[in-house]
Amino acid sequence: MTGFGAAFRLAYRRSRMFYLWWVLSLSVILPMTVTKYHDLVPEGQSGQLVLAQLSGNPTMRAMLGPAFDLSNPGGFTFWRVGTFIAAAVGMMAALGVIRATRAEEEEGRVELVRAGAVSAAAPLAAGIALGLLACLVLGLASGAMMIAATPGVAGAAATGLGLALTGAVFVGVGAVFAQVFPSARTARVWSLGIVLGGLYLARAMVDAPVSTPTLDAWRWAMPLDWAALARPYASERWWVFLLPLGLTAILVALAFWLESLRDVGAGLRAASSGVATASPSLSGAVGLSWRLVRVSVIGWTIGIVISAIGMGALSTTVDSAFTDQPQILDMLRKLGGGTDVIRNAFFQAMLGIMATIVTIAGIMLLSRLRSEETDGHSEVMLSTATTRWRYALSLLVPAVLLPVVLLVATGALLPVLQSQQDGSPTVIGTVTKAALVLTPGIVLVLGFAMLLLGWRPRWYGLVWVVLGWSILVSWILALWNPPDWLLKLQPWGYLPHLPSDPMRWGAFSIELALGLGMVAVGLLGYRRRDIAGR
Amino acid sequence: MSTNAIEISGLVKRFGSTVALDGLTMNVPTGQVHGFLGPNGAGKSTTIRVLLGLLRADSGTAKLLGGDPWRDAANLHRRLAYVPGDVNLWPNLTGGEAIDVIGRARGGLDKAKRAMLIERFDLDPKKKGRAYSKGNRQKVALIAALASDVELLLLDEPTSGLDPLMEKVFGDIIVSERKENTTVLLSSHILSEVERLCDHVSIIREGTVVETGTLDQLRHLHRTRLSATLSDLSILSRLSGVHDLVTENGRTTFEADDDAMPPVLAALARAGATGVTATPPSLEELFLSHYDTRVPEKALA
Repeated sequence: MTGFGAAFRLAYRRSRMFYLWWVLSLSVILPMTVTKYHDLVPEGQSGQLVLAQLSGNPTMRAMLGPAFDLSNPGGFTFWRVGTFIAAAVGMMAALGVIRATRAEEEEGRVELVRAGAVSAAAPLAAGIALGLLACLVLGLASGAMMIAATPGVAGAAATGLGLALTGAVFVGVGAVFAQVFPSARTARVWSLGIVLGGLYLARAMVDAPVSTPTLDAWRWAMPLDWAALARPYASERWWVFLLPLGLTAILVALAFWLESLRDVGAGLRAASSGVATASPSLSGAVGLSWRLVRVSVIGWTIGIVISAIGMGALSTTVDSAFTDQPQILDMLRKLGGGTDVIRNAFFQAMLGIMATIVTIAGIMLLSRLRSEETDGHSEVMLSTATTRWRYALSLLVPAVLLPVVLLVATGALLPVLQSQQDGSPTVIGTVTKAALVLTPGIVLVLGFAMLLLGWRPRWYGLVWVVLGWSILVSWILALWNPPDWLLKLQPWGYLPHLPSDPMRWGAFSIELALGLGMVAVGLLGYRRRDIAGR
Repeated sequence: MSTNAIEISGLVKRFGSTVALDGLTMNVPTGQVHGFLGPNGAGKSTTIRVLLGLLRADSGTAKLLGGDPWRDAANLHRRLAYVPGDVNLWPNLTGGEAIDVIGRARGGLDKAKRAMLIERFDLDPKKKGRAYSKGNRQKVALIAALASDVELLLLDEPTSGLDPLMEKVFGDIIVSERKENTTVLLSSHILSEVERLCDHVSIIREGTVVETGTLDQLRHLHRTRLSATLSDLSILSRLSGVHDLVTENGRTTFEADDDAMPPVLAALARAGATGVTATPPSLEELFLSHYDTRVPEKALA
């Protein structure tokens, strides 16, 4: 392939830091988890009970995937963080391949490259090769660290291979969507929001209930479960890796075929024409902003509603999950609760995850205020009779309202099936209230985002660091029994988690005030700073 | 109402350690078409962005249509229209939608004028933003700006990317705007365009205005180039205001200051010079002398 070398070197040069950070941060999670195994799982019978409770808990299975052999540190580690990391590797891979192909093309840089002695498919091949290489490096690094951390080379090899091949599948997914859509943004939404997010949800639905032959069969259709199904550290099944290998090959071939059908800069569909005059609603900053964000607002709403109802369906399986675990039921009874303690814990865990996810929607909506500026659109709108505040608010208001409304809706929808089973709507009220109490966390994150936009717009990426930190703390760092203040040092840390916590109005109002204060200070900064042009 | 549409005095704007505007002073009287020239990076766009209230000046004052461009931005913007130098449209809005969005945000546009401009610029308003070529994106921005009735047009290299035919259409429209007493600040690199449209020009370099005036006035500030065949050079070399005297193959060439022309012509007549030619500075030379940043500024005047 002519020019592959040059295209690959260019892609490497532009993406090496991107991949370096992803590989470093993802590959250290496994060995870090191994070191905590003996603290978490005591020797002897109490250890058995802990493991039975963990692996029998539908919440845990929904979040983490199927458990095979938790009695050794490697198997436990893979269950505890393996599927989660595999999904994150998928995210890295899809983002990476889109950034090296469609994003460059959209900016007109691929045109420059292809004007040289470079064949049409070379930039795509380079982006795919680099993504696969990054997955390979990540797999090797994870495998090597697991060999050092636990006995059993086979388990470590299966772990590394599982992560690398899950990533490879998403190299293919990203490459395909990068051909279909002319905009990198849309390609990212489809690869991550719809395919990766949808697969994680589907996987949770299949993994959470007590296993039945039908569910076990469905599990094979879940690419995010394949790494776990190869059973690292639990008598490995190497042939399972043929599944991601085959799917990757199909997706990559599909991407190259689609690439050959289209023009540089274009999507798969010929650009359609539209209307010659704007509709009356497309007027002013508010009309424009609504037009820019309406597709994502509708998409997020549909996605969250489906997820909330789907996750909610799992809560009804809590009872059956424990009928075959008398030890645990016994323990719960001694603690003074029945299965509703577990069910409440399930709702709380789901609300915690959903709070983070809907906040992503808010951050992405608000990031429009930044991208409109760097694209030169803010300059044009702000040289009309549109004030800075009106302009900023036209995106800030939906960016705050959307996640708040979606979280409260999640609270109302999660327990719908449970309340039918109960024959009483009480549980809906309880969970909705619990969701409402978590909303100041959203306001806090978006307040921080607005603060950045007002004073240091180039640092907008920091808001993702805050969100990443909150995910790290609640999914991974919690294993370490860190000091309480560290565990709480995240947007939802100090808020009361109803109904198991008592309502604390102080924490609620202070955090809400802090978030709104940052919004106000951010708006003041936006009012008085320079607006960049293109 | 102020007689100056734009008044800028001692304007300074820094970006970190870079000084973009270094005490810029400039006035544009109401109803004037003012050419704004200077090499890339001289500070033309920065000046226009300060006038739009997008950038905040570090010191100095700027007045626009009698108001403060920073504090009264939104109100002043009802009375002006702006075309950016690098037009980038919303990829999923059509050209027609973009025109309407910008026009409505300004406070409305004249539908008849909009239709006339689309016709004259030969634009397909149904195409999506991402499908337009550079020239067509430029047309969308021009139509959006010109379709409103405003007092002031701030145009930052408005014809970049337009074909010669469209450049002419643009020129004709500016000529008719001038008849309606619209003030225009036109940043441009196209000398023929400036010569045709502008009453007055300001040349900016490294953040300050180095020269301003009508094109005739600017020409007078520069030397005329003469050549002649004559035997006695001494009469010329004694005159003040004569520079770069060179004789080659019997032909003498030199440059003369504008105010030294009468004595120079008299001296040439007395010396019995033949084949006399006098060339006033071309616009191109005028600009190049200012654009070439390698030449120290002192040597230019």
